[in-house]
Amino acid sequence: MSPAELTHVPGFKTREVGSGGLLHIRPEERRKTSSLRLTWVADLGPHNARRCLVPACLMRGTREFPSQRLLNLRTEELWGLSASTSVDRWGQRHLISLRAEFPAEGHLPQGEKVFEDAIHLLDQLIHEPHLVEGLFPEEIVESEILQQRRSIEGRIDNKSGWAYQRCLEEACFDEPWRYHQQGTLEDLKHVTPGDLTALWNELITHQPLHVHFSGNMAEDRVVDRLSTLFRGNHSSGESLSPRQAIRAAKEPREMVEHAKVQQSNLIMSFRTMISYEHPLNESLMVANGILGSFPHSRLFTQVREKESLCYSIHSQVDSNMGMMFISSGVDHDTVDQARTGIDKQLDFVRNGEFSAEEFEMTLAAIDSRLRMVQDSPAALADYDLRSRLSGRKPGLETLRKRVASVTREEVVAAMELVHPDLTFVLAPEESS
Amino acid sequence: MSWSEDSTVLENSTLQERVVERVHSSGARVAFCHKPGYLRTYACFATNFGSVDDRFRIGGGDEIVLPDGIAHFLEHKMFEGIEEDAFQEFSRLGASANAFTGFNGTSYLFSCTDHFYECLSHLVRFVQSPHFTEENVEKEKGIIGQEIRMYEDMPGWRVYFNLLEGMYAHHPVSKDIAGTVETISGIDAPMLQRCWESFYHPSNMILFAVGDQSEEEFFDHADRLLKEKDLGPAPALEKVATLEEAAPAQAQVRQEMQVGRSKLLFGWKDIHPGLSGQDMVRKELVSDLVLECVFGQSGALFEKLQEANLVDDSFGGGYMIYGDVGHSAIGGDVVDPEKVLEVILAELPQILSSGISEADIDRQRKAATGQLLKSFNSLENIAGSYCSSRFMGADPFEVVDLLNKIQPSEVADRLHDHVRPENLVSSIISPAQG
Repeated sequence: MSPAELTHVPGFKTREVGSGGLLHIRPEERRKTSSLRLTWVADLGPHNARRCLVPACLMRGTREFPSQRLLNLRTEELWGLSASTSVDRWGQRHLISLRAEFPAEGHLPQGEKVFEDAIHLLDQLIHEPHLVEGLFPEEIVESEILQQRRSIEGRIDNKSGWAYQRCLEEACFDEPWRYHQQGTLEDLKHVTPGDLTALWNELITHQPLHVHFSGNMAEDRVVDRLSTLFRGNHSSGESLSPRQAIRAAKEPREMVEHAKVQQSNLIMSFRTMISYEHPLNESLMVANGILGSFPHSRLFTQVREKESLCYSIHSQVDSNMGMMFISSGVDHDTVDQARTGIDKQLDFVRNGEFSAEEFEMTLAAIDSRLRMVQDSPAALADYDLRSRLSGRKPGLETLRKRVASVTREEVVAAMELVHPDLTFVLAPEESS
Repeated sequence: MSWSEDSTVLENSTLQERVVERVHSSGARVAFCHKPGYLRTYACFATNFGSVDDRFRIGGGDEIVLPDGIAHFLEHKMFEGIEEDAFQEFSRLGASANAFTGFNGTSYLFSCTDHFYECLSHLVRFVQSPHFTEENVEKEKGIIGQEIRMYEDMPGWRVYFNLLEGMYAHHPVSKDIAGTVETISGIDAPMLQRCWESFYHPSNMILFAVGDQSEEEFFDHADRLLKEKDLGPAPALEKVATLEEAAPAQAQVRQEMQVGRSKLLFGWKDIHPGLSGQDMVRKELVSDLVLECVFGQSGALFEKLQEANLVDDSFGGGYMIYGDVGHSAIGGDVVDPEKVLEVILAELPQILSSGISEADIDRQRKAATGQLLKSFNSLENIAGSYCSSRFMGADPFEVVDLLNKIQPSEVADRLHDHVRPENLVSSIISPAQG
């Protein structure tokens, strides 16, 4: 199979701004809005929780609009400019992002324009936050600590997400990706406005910054205006720890925890020893597709549809960690049956028993998924950033070609490297 | 060609969008929106049959009462084919397919970057070829049972349906879309077949596509596809409405779950039999504007609650209309739901007496316009907005013009008509003890 010809969708053009900052710009004529994403990259670690407080405090006001309410009034005035922050993780990195989307020129009544005002506001959010005597105001810091504490406590509300994180913490107990991006309650103790103001300074001056912009505007104008977002940033490669090596599975382990839930969440983790640079990385992507990431995949058609054991079931691969995970929500009485069914499907793919059709369908589905990324500036920015952080050359075309050239034998070879690590079950309390 | 009338063009200069629609001789409404430069094409085949449609008659016959969750069950079973399930062919074509059931409709959809017309053919054919057997219906009960259990463990889902249970004494909108393990236990193949025959006739359906395809070619294909199967004349379908009193069923519904922090939703219900088309869109728009001014994050009330550390950024709300009923739902994750309600009830008299300023209305109008522009970037949103508007007899684009026509007096009336402290209903999920 060869990938279908691609309608040309421009990718990001990257340039270095200041010392170490990277500005990625692409023209986007299809949409009615321009989108911007700023991401500071740091290491995951025991202080993730306090780092999460920085973007939260930035969104509480600027020197010009010194309260969240005034800030919100301003964004509404700018035709509903959406500005939001998020905290994610990717491998061993902690990603602190500020995203904004605002109407593109030519779509507003009476030729109104918001680009200049939007960039000015974002610049103020980053560089001129609301400070009192040079520090984040105490009441805001306290309030954000409280909210962050509640977010951490609220993580259990999402039962499958909770089960996945618990599995990760136990399976990777000494690896950096075990840290949840929201951090721990422990880390929030004794944080002062001084600590947080210093952390803000460190983030915007020392951590690598990526800015992705998609919009229908002249490149020179975008470069000129967006360069201001990098002022003060002099990050270098030394701001991040070296890449962590992935490791092989030891003895398979099992673990059960209990909660007040109706159904059990089963998370099976595996070590693959396949990183993004590994020659079998794309083969593992295909193996994962045959196994469990599409509606035609074995886990869905066999364990869910044939055996009626579950509603949700899927597999995913993370080559930063060199791991594969299979997650499912099942009735507690049938957990063992589900595990047997899943093991059977793993063997099925490992033994190369999948049909030519299953193989071809998976190649087509992955290719289609990769092409679809190009319709979304947000997904493109995300793909670009994550590729760079994983040491891959960003380029969907290259990836599409590599996937298309994967052979059945390579799928089997990749699956032979997949070995069970920890199997984790979050079970109803009654079953204890 | 088998189009029963000339094409209609719906367009809007602010959104710079254009939808061409036609009514096919089979009865189906067929529509297309051209999006130049998009690699993906998205299409859906949607029926005006959702979870609230629990009673109906055909040709003045006896009333048929359906078990809760049947529309959703039918959606699951439509993917079943004689040889294989419908997903397989979409996968062969590299497309991504799905379906969802809402209160008012069920939509079957796919998106693809290649083989669009093969996917479209498959979509229409599988939705028009049910294959229900006692065996496959029984098997599905296990899968849906697990789906129901999954929702039971989702506090965000529970807090919303508990709110509806507090608001509505009889109306089926308060019933969980998937039903319960008990209500789906009695579903059988003949029952599904009857629902399909009654609600999946083309006259009750919309076929819509959005993407960078040729308009003419799309209509040609749609015409051929819809002629492949003669499903006969449209059944004389009469949905039976459930009467609902204006007063809420319960002031408060509480549930304990294993959650890190409490969840609160509150709101008010409206009963408006006969409301449709532009009036419905206008009501939804004005209600949203009122809620944003009163409870939004740029308002004085939110600031007060936030300064007291009672709410966070998860706080917000909106207004939803489902045929003859509509309701607001406002809230978020909170530590002390009672205290939040206490502050809100203490503040409301002042808010009601001072009303909403013209400056606030103008600002919200601008913000809503920006949000609309954003939502029309998304193929899914365009399709969803088109189908839901058409099912309620409205034009999906008139929302922009209506926004500009909203009068301050209308906002004031709506504020007093909807936000009535004595009728407030609340739903609270709190952490389980022990």
